[in-house]
Parts: sequence; structure tokens; C-alpha cells
Amino acid sequence: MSRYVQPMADLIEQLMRLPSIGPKTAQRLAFHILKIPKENVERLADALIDAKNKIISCSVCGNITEQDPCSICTDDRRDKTLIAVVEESKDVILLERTGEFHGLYHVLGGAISPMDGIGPDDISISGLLKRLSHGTVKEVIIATDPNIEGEATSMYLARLIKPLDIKVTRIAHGLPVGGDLEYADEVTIARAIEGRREL
Amino acid sequence: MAVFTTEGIILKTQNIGEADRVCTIYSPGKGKIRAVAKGARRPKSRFISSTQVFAYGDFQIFSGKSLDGISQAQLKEAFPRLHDDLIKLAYAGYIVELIDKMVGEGAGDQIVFNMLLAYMRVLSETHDPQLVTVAFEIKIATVLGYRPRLGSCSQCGKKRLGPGIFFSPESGGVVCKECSSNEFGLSRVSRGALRLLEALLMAEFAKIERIKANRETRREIEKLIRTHLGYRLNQRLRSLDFLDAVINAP
Repeated sequence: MSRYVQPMADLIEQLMRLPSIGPKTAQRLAFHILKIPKENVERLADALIDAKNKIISCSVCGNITEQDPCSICTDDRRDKTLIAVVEESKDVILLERTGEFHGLYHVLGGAISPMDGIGPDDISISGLLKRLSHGTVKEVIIATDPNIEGEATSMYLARLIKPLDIKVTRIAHGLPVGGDLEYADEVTIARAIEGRREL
Repeated sequence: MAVFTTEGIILKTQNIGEADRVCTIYSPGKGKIRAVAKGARRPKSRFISSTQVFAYGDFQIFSGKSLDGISQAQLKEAFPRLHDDLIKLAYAGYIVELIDKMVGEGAGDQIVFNMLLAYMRVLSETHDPQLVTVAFEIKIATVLGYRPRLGSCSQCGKKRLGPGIFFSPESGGVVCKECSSNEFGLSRVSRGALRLLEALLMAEFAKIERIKANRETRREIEKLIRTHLGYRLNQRLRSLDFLDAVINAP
């Protein structure tokens, strides 16, 4: 990195800390930043600082928000008897975009991953159980990823929640819409058959 | 560009980039292989189920600049029951971490591979995941040269062990009452536990669930073998915490 003047080297180094940015991309971004008008750079810098300062996580559901509790938790039109449990805040955006879900959310902030040493205490499970203890929730939909970590998390949660006499459901596994059966893998097809529904 | 095809079992996966997944595969010929499956996290990826942890299949690997890559993967067995049962998942998660820590890259072994595959198959079907797992632990320790000495004192070699037998992880086996005073904090083991461990070592995987054992003896052998393996590995495996949490939960 010694070929660069110090401020440039610092910029490249900071950019490289971002996910999926390697040395080449960092260098390209740094040169781009030098080229664009100063106002644009200031807007970028302000946006970074602003986002970091103003965004907090909701004390109820754990989703990212500007005010606490978040707009979803305080919205009276939403079905308070239904909670969808997701791994990350970005999953809330995905579910919201479908327009099909009108209940509340709970963001775990990750998934149980035995092999990575992420246990039940490292994600926001106690917060969820506290919310369920109020008695208003009738159903919990577990919408963690359909991979091994997501499955471990869903089974663990189901074991904790079922004794509370609350219905626990898991989002369906199956074929992607618009896909071709020929290209689907055996495991997915097996799951799709298992989870078939009557027409 | 060198390309080869091998069968293997996925021990570990790690997400990188937008949708890629780095898989640690255990293969009989080359031991552990780390290779990236491009786009494996996309819902329509052809790698999606063949690159999940525990998956057994044929993998075509090409050597890349910094990391090898998977160009084709054909799933043979996915062990869905290990994904659907929390307790079995916790046991299998522990065993794959154990293999990952115990074998190195390039250290392939057909026996270890067959044993791991047999374990996954039996674990999927068994109603006694605990004994099957302890059996795997003692068998794998034996194959890799860490077999604990159970028949005679590991320090003085005395064959006729009197009352009071202790297990010493440092000596790698049981010690008699006299030798046990050389070390602090050794835990006592019962004769029943030693007999059960021997039986598990000798028994075929498929027949292990026929072996009967009470709760205390099971606890005892589990503790013994984990202390032994933990001492050889010189670290505590992270998946054990989860296993404990799942087993001991109300």
C-alpha cells in the first residue's frame, strides 16, 4: 500500500473493511471518490454518520428503527396475535414486501449455529419468550432460513414455545415459483411432496 | 487447471460474498478439502442441497488461485432426519466438528470416511443417539491412534486393577488407586463403565442400540470419552455447548 499517499492508503484500507470489497474494488472506489464533486462525498459521509447515529434497534422486536418502539410494533392495524420470527432485519423488509403478512415481527439477530459456537443465549430468544408471556400472541411463524442453522433455531424455539400453548408454525419448504421441476434437487422435491396441499 | 472428482461428506460451511458458500468436505482420498460453491445460497442454485452440512455426495473440485472450487456436485444422501430432529442434529453437529478438528488437510483415510458415513446412517435411524455417538467417539479415537487404555493401569501397567479405578486424561487411560495419587482431580470410573466402553468399541454400529446401559453409566462414559478427546485435541469443541443445552433442557 506504500505506493499511495497516506490519505489515499487510509481510504483504501477503510473501504476494504466492508464486506465483499477486495483490494481492487477498494482501489476503484477510492479513485472514484477522488473524482466526484466534494458535495457528493459530503453527502455520502453524512449519510454514513446519520445512519449510524439515528438507527437503533426496537426494544420490542429488535428490528432496526428510528423511533423506539418501531413503526410496526406501534401500528394498531397490525394483527397482534401473530408474530413472525426472522433472523435479520433484512428479512423483515423481505416479508413486508410480499404484502401478505400483517402480524408483528421478532428479529433474533442471527441463528443458532452449533459449529460456530453461536448458542441459544447469543440470539434474542429471551426477548421473544417475554413477549409471548403476555398472552396476546396466538401463533408464532418461524421464518428462519431453510438451512441447518435455521432448522436448528426453529426446532429449538418450537420446543420452548409449544409448552406455552401457542401454535408454532414453520414457513413451507418447496419449489421456487416460476422454476422448473427438472432442475430442482431431490431434497427440495422431497420436502415439496411432504408439504403438499389439497387443491 | 487440475480437476478431480471425489466422494465426500460436508463437515462445515461458511458463507462468503453475496451468495457463495465455502464447504469443508471430508474425502477418503484427500482428507479435508476446502472449496467454494459459487452461488450456492441462491434459491435456484444447483448446489443448494448438495452443499449443506452433513450432505454426502460426489464432488468435482477444480483448483483455484486462492481457494479451490466445486464445479459439480451430485448428492447421494442428505440425511434429512438429522435436520429434522434437534437432538440428532446436535449430536451430528458435534461429530462433524470433532472430525474437522481431528483430521488435517490432505490426510485422507478410507476407514475414517466409512466410519463417519456409517455413523450418519445409523444416527438417522437410531432411537439411541447417545450410545451411538459415544461408540463413534471411542472407535474414531482408536482408528486415529488415541485409543484410551482401559484394561490396565496406564502408569504402572498393573493388569489387576483393584477397587478404585480412576481416569487420567494426561496418561490417556485408566490408572490404579496407587498411581492416582500422582495426579490431582482425577475422576473415578466404575467397572460397568469400562465394560460398556469396551463393548461399544467392539460392536458394529448397526447393533449398538441393542446394548443396554443405565443413565449413570451412560453419563460416566460420555464424560470419560469427552475428557479424553478434549485433552488430545487441547480444546473444547464449540458444538458441545449446544449439545449440552439441548440434552439438559427441560
